[in-house]
Order: sequence, then C-alpha cells, then structure tokens
Amino acid sequence: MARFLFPRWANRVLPMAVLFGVIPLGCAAAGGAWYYGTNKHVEVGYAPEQPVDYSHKLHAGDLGVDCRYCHSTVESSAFAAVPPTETCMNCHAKVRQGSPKLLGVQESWATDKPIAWVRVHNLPDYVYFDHSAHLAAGVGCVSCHGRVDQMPVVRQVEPLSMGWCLDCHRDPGPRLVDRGEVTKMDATPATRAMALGAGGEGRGALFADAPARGRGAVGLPEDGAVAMTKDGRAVRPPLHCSGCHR
Amino acid sequence: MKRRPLPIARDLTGKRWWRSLGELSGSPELAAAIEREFPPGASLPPEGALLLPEGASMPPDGVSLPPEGVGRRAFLSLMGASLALGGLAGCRRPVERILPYSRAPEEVVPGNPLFFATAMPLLGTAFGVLVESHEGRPTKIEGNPGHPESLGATTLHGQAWVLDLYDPDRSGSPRERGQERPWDAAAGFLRAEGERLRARRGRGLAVLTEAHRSPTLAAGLAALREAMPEARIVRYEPFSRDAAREGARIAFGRPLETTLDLARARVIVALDADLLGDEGSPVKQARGFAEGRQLEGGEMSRLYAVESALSITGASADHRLRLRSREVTAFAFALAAELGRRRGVGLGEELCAALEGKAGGLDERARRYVAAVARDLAASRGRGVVVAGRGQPAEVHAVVHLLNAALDNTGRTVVHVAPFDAGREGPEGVVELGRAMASGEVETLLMLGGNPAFNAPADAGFAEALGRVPVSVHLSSHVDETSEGATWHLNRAHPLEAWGDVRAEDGTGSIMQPLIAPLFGGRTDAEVIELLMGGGRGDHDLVRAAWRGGRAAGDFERAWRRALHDGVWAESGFAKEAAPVAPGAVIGAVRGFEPVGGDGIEVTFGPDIHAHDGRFANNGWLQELPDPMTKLTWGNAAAISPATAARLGVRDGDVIAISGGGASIRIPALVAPGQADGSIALTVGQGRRAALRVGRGVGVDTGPLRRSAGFHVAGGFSAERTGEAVELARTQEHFVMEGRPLAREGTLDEARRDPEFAKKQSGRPELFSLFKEPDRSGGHAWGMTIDLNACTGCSACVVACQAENNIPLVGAEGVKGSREMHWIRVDRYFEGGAADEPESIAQPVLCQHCENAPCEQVCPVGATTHSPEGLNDMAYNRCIGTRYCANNCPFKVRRFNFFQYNGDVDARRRMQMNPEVTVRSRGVMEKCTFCVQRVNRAKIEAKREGRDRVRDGEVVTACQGACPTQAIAFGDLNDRSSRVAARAADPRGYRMLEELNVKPRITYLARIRNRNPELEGV
Repeated sequence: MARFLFPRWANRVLPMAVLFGVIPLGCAAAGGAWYYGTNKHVEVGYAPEQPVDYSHKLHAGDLGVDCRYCHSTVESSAFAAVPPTETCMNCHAKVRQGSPKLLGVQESWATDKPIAWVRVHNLPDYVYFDHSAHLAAGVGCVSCHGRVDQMPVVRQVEPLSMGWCLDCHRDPGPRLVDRGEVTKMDATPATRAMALGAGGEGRGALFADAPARGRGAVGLPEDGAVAMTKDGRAVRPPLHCSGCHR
Repeated sequence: MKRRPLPIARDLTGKRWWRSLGELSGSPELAAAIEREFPPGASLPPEGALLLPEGASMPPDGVSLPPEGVGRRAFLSLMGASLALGGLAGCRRPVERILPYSRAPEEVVPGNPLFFATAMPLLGTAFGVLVESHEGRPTKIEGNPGHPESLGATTLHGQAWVLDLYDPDRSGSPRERGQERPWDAAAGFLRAEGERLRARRGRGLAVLTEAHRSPTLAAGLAALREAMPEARIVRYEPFSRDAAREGARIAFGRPLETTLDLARARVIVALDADLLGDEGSPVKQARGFAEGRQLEGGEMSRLYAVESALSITGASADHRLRLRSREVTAFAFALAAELGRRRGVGLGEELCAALEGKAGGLDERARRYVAAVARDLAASRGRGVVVAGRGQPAEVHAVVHLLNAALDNTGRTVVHVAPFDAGREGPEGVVELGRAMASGEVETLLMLGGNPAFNAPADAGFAEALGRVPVSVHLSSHVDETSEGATWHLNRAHPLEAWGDVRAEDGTGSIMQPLIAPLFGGRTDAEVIELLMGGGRGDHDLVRAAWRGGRAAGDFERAWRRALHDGVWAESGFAKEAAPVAPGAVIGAVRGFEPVGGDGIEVTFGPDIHAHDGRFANNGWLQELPDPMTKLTWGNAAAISPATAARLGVRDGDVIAISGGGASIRIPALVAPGQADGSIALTVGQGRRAALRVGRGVGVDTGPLRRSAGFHVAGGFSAERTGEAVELARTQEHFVMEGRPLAREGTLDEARRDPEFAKKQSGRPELFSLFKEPDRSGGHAWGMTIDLNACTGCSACVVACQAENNIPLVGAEGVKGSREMHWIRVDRYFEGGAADEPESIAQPVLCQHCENAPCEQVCPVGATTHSPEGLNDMAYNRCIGTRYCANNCPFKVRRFNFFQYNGDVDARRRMQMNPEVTVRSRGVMEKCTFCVQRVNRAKIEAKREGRDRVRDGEVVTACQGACPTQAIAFGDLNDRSSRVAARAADPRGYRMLEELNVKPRITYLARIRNRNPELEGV
C-alpha cells in the first residue's frame, strides 16, 4: 500500500494563508483599532444628554451672554467651573419662571442639591490643563470648544488628544487673539510672528524686533516655540513633559 | 539587575564614613547587597504574601496585599479575556459628572487652594500652622510664619497631623459598655450625671485631663471647680515639662516656664535634652540654633551635648559626651560646682560643697569635659545656655536655673515667663488617682483625652483600677485601651474639625478653627465639660466666651477676626518674668537629692519618634518614617551600645528580656553606636493593643517597666538574651553610597584657613562631555541648596514630601524588602573608627536633577526627560517599569511601585490626596519632581499677571517649607539676586559625585564643627 504523501503544492498553503489571510486580517484589525480606538473617532461629537436642557446657543449666541458670566473662574483657576445653581437663579428667579425646562434648576435651588451635569470635555487624570494660563496667553475658548454659541447641546468638536495639544503648542500663532477677545467666537488671530523652528533659527530676528523687552527680559523660549502677539507679548507654550504632567 | 560600583575618586580626608556596624566591619552580606540595585526578590510578594504587621487583621492604610500566585494557564486565560474585553471597554468613555455648588460659598474657587490659620498643641506648647484646603478638604500643613513657635516651619508631627484627621479607625459615635449610642443619649447622660454631682458638690468625681494650654478648657474646669469644689482635677502627660517647672519652683519659689533664644547664644550645653528634636519648642530652637551657626557675621555658637542615647541634638553637637542619664545628673552638679567656685559666678561655698557631694562617679574624660565646658561658659557670660532635659530630676533643673542666673544668661538667652497655670502634669498625680480609684473613693471618672490605661506609670495600676470605678467616661478619638475599660466612650473631634484655642509656651494665644465639619461627629473637651455643667453652648460659643473678656462687641469682633486670619491673638504673650533666685532652697534640694539607685543596667524612657506617647501609633506616615538616628521604621527597639551588646552577646534584632521592678518585657535589641554603655534606651508609645489597623501590634509596649519612681530614668534592671531574633525594618543600609565622600564636613579652623575646603575633599578629574550641552543661561534654572551645617536630620522634610506628593506606604515588610517610597531620605553617616563613640552627620538626599542625567539616557520609552528649566521630568503614563533608570542613578533616589499601593485606599483617606499630583499606579517609577506642581502654579500665576519670570521666593518646595532650620533653599539659579544663587556660590558648596560630570542641580554646603581646642583628643 502506497503511503499517503502530501502533494508538493501543499507546501505553499501555509505561506499563502499567511500572506493572504493572516497579514491582511491582522492589518485590518490593527487599523481598525487604530482608527476606531483613538479619541478622534470616539470622542469628537460626544454630546451627552444633560440633566437640564440648557442651550448655549440661546444664552451665549442669541442673547450674547459672555462665557465668563457663568464660567467665572476661568481666568483665575485651572478649572472653568460650571456655575452654581445660584448663577442660573440670578435671572431665572424672575425670567421664565414657568418653563418646564427650568424644573431641574428650581429643584436644585429648593433642595440645595447640585445639578449633576455630565462632563463633555474630559482629559485624562494625568493631564493638568490650566484654563487661566491659556486665556492669559490669548487662546480663545473657540480654539478648543468650537462654536459653543451655535450649539443647542454642547458637543466635543476637537479630539483633545496629546498630538492635537502639541500641534498648537508647537505653533501657537494662528490661535492667539487679543486677551480681551478670548470669549469672542469669531475673533481673528492677533499675532505678527509665527512660531519658529525648534532649532531656533530666526530667534534673534524676533527678539531684535522687540527691543523694548529684549532677549534678557524675555528669556529663551522654553522649548523653541514662540509666538509674538501684536501687543508685544511673547507666548512660549511648554513642550516638555512636566508642562502638563506632574 | 547586578551592578558593579564604578571605581570613583575616594575621600581624600582620610576620614572613615559608615552607616551601619555591618559597613564598619565590612560584612560580606552588605557587600553582596550593594551590588544589586534592589534586593533579591524585591519584586516578588514576600513570603506568606503578607505585608502586615503581626496580628493586624486588615491591611494597613494605603497598603494593599501583593497578588497571590497565579499559574501560567490562569494568567493566559485572564490575559486573553481582558484583552478581548479591554478592547471593547476602551471604546466607551466613562461618564463623569460635574457637581457644582447650588449656593457657592464665598472665596472658594475650584482648583485654587485656600489656607487657614490654626495651631497644633504638642510638647507643652503650640505650633501655629497654615492648613491648605482644596474645596473644603484639608490636605497639607504648612508652618505659620507669623507664629513665634513655628516661624513658618513645623515638626515632623505637624506634617503628619493631617493624616490623623482621615484615620478610618477613628471612633464614629459614643459607646456605652461597647454598645454604640447616639450623641443625644450621651449628652443626656452627662447632663443627668452633672446634676447629680452638683448636688453632692462634686464628691466622688475625678476629672483627668491631658497637659493642656487651652483657656477655654481652663475656664470650663474653673467653672466646674466652683460648682463642684470637692471634685479632684488631675492632669497627666507621659512626657511633660513638669521637672523644669518644679526646678523653677525650687530655684525661684514659684513655677516658671523657660524659653530659649539659641540664636543669641554662643555656648549651648544640652544635658540629656533633645533641644532640636522633641523638647521645649523644637522648631523655634532649631531655627535659633541654625542662625547662631552661620559663619558670616559674628561668632559661631558651640554646642555641647551630654546624653545617654544619641539624639539629633547629640549628632548636631560640636562635642558630645556619652554618659548614662544618671551620670548626666552628676555631670550637671559637677559643672555647677566647677563654675560656682569661679570669680564672678559665685554660687557660694555651701552650695558648691553640696553639689560636689552629689557629683561623684564621673570618669577622667567626663571631668575634663566639665572643666572645658565650665571655662567656655564662663568666657561667654550672658551668651550661654545651659538646659536640662525633661528626664532629668527637678533638682538638676533648679541647679541649671541657678547657673543660668549666675552666668547672666537669664533674661538674655534664657527667658522665663509665667506658666499657663500652676498645675502639675507628672506621674505623681495619676498614681494618687489610681490609688483613689482602686479604694473606691472615685465614683465618677471623667477622662478628657489621653490614654492612661496605656501610658500611665505601671504602679498606678490604672487599667485595673478603672474597672473599680462605677461610672467612667473617656473622651478620645479612637476606641483605645482606656475606652475599652471605661463605661462610656465619647468620640472626640480632631482639632482640625472643631473650635479650640491654645497658648504657646510664651503665652501667645491662637484660635484653632475647624477646616471641615467633624467627619466622625465628635465633640471637644470643652463641650463635654459644658454638658456636664448643664450648659448647651457649642465649641464656637465656648471659645468666643473664653476670649471675650471685658471687650466691647465691636472691638472683640475685630480682634477675633484678626486672630483667625493671623493665627495668633495679638499681644497675648505672657510678660517676661524677672524672678530672683533663692540659693538656700536649692542647697536644701541638692542635699536632699537621692540619685537614681540600683546597680545593673539603667533604662531610659523617651517618646517614640513614630508614636510619641502612643497618640500617633495609627499614623502610617510616622510609622514608616525612619528614626533620624537608628533608621528604624514600624516599631521600637531597645537601643544598646556595641560594648553592652557584646557583653550580653546580642546582635541587631535579637530579642532580649529586660527585667526590673517586678516586671519584664521582651523587646528586640538594636545596637546603636553612640549609646552609653550600661544604659538601654526604650521608647514609649508602641505596642498598642487597641483595634487600630495600622498601629496595633507594631512594636513593643514598654509600659510595664515604667514606674512613677524612675519615670524617665531608672536603675537596677537586668537584660539577657532570649535566643529569639526578629528582623527589624531599618533603612540604614538601603541605598548606601559605598564610601564616597558625599557628606562633607570640616572644622571652623579649616573653613577659616581655606573656605573652599569642601571642594577639595575628593579628587576631581578633568571633566569633559561627549554630549553637546545645551545653553541653559536663559529662562529659569531651578536649583536647590542644602546647608548641612543647618540640617539636624529631624526628617520633617520626609513627611512633608509624603503629604505633598501622595507618596504611598509600603508597610514593615515592604521596608525590609527595600521598597520604601520616600522621595527624600535623610542619610545618617557615622564617622570615626570606633563603633562606640562615632560622630554623626545627616544629609538629605533627593533627586539631584542632574543636567546630564544618567537616568534619561537609558529610558527605552522616553518616560524621563529633561525640561528646559532643568527639571528631570517623569511622565508616569509613559513609564513601563524597566527600572533601568534606577539602576543607572548614581544617587539612588528613584523609587519603584512594586505593588498597587494606592489601589483600595479608604475613601476618607483619599480626601487627603493632593489633587495637583498624579497618584501613581503599580509598575511605575517615581522620584522627587522639585515639587513641579508648585513650580507650575507659580509660573502660571506669573503668566496671568503678565510677568515673564517667577520672582524669588514664589516657589517653596514642600521639604523647604517644612524645614525648621531653613537648611533648604530653592529657586532660580539664573536669577543672580535669588537666595538659592547666593547660597550656591557659597565657598562651602560642593556637589555630590562631581567627578561623574552629571552636573547635579543641588549644591550641598559642608558642615562646620566648632571645636573647643581644649577638648582636642579627649
């Protein structure tokens, strides 16, 4: 009885299976995880339902209430605090008392229990973002939060990933506005010099351009990136780890 | 990870530095251990998978158990499942809620901490503190610069105080015979009992309090005494200033408080007194001492320490004489006699003769010390300080008071003020109370704080006598040994959550204000007295009533608010007392003085560095803090000298039985260089039996040996080996430095001859770099200086760092495995060839933030990198735990999270965590960050104000803020006018391991010893 022998083509089965099966599938899986697993896909567009049907479009857009009326700590603290119920009641003790949308606010006011808002813009716990530093530099609200004045329901419009942060930290110029206009949603950039290369080429020219402050006063840019605003401020966002992680 | 030490330049001074007896004798075990960065098995669960102290039922706070062994198959299936699930779970973001206030309190800005002034009563004085509060949670304690006993710094206990607030073992309700009862029931009981007692004018009532300095409590007790004149009121403190006050009663005819101004002193003689550690007002004294040690301007002071156990004062001394504590008494008398015969001092022949009669038994060396110290003191009239420790008898204190007066020191460097009151706090009162309790004279016993069943002298028989008292009420924060024996336990509010008040040793009053509503619903001492008196006022009203006096409402309100803001009540200090001495009474006292008798071994009792008198036993930060001298954590031991150890045939960790006075304890021995021969130093406060998850079963209770006669120093003991041995959790051989000249010192003469002597103590090869080094002359350049001449090694910085940076505890087993996590350690080196009589120097070591950091070169994932301002950054979320960086760090300052130490921390404990610092997870390397959160806060503040630079002094690191002697300076080295830049340019400055060209950012300033030429070679 002749012994069974695998035909010669059988030698190619495994390599072919790897070539046409495992590798493409693996690539697809890795690519899928890469794309769908990143915050670009997961978090942009996140618009949870809030306990109170509050419309930024109405308040900030149509009525023109300044962001800082409610988020009053944004210029003095790392957090742009969500306002206490008291802030709502400043107006709504008189305005639209009968609206069913205000029930949650009135309940909180009556029972002294906080309104449990759902957090939309959420950074990882190991990131120490500071609102006041960004506002002091002239980064407007719109740069990270988008046109909140056009949003009936707040949603996340930017990925808020580290790469996205660094894009701006490396080249802050296009996003800097006058410090008085940080809450203006359509303010135009107010920089006259864009960021410089990390090597520092052209740094001398930049500082020569600002003789009043001088190189000594300004100091070296922290990590090579610097932008000069029209009112003569040098903005040097940190690029090193401890700028954001502690 | 095996490593070979580099053959680096050795010490050129010819001195011999060592940290442990094993290192001195060149033990092969240590040599083998040095070759490894971490001890073998450091990453393995310890045997039995227990990190717990013996007998503990649950993991100590913050310490989680290592994982149980997992087989390969179980591991693979778990990993597979978690990969599959993890992939899915990762796609769903957690829903987080934001809960704003409904009505926002004034001044609270989320994200910005607030600071409130209050005070911490301890050691018969009070330390003013500023408490950092994040959204209503007290997280960190800083000193109050405006308070005379704090001057902006704290003791190590002050730093650890905030952890006690969140101790999950605190009692949550009153208990009647072990059954929980609501406070209403307890209040009803107290009112009824008070009514009954008032009708009997207080007959049968005894009130036992701690040593307190609270005007509110004093007012309450005065009212009680008036309403119930037959009640006894007893005060007891295991470690009080009673002897010093009694000494003043002998010398001046009335008790007086003694305060010291060491900054103005040129000669300081400490007789068994740990001035810089835990006696008197140590923060103020340490600051003054450091001021008097500055080389620039004026003379440098000289400190003589005569003591039995090596203390940080002894280690800081220019000359230290090792004597048994009872011989210190003889030394004090001999010194007084020697001085008394000098012209201009004139104590009188009669007194000198009496003193000499009691000053026998000193050897030749001690007599030469007496002569030299006497000459030095006489040469600095009005600028000397003689001070005796709390363990010395009242007669010694009386003689010391006399001596200071005769040397014109009184009124200058030694200032007397009125005492808080005339009450006594020593053991006699509680012994008499114990007798009255046992004989049935006491029918109702009210104990306000304290834990007498644990730490009263053994001859008071307090625990047994407590059982004979029909009604006993104990107010305390925990259900402790005394509460268990009392019929009623009342839970006491922590001083950080209730209104109170306290006067410092100089009388300065502080209002203690609550930072948070009582977490466990406790009440204060004054409130309990109020309930007993039938009143209904709360703590706030009581304190205001005590301070109101005759002030008009408006004036009082202004003064009150000012006091709350400043932390001190303006001009409330007691006036300086100028009391004439009564030598006649002192002669009588000295003649009648009976020295501590008994042959055999002498035993001394001191407060435990970790537990004090037992009150901090459940505080994990303190338990894990290495003792500044013995480097012992988690427990206590009997310190014996190498010669005595050799005579008894014991080694470190051998359990010895110490017997005397009809009692015996078994305690591990610790061979302590510098300990007096024939004297054993024991500490009180460990070995707690009450249900405390952290402190129970840690160490040994030495209480059975402590009797009212021989309360601090006792003779006639015997010690012998038992044959058993335990492993002590000590850190002194961890992270050793292999004999390199790291801690440097010189004499004052050397420094005068060559101010740059420290730089020349090691060979310096020509330095060159293979790297193109970046220009760091622009921007900030953060750096630090540590003045070893000011550092006493007190270790307040270690606890401060732990509190600020969320540093976890690892437990006793963890310390034995060299897994301790402290970012800053205080290395204590001994110097000299003899094990018995070494000199000692302390050196705090933290991340040096090297400009050419070796750790950064070897990280495969770029988790540790350099910031342009010179910080050696650590990005925890990048770290994968290879530990290469730790292996490559020449200073051994990197710490690895071997376990999930912060895993299942109690929710209340979590409230203390600093929200500005990441809580690290398992498998991550960490180390000192130069408090980068504080640096960033200051930088952002500067940006907000439109400034380009942070000003000098705006960033204060946690260790710097806590340092009583201001040995640490931090700031911008590029700012020529900054304090740190000036100190870094000091000629005494040197950097560790400069020959490696790692360019540390920390400059150490060498220690200076101000030798007395007369004692050269003695």
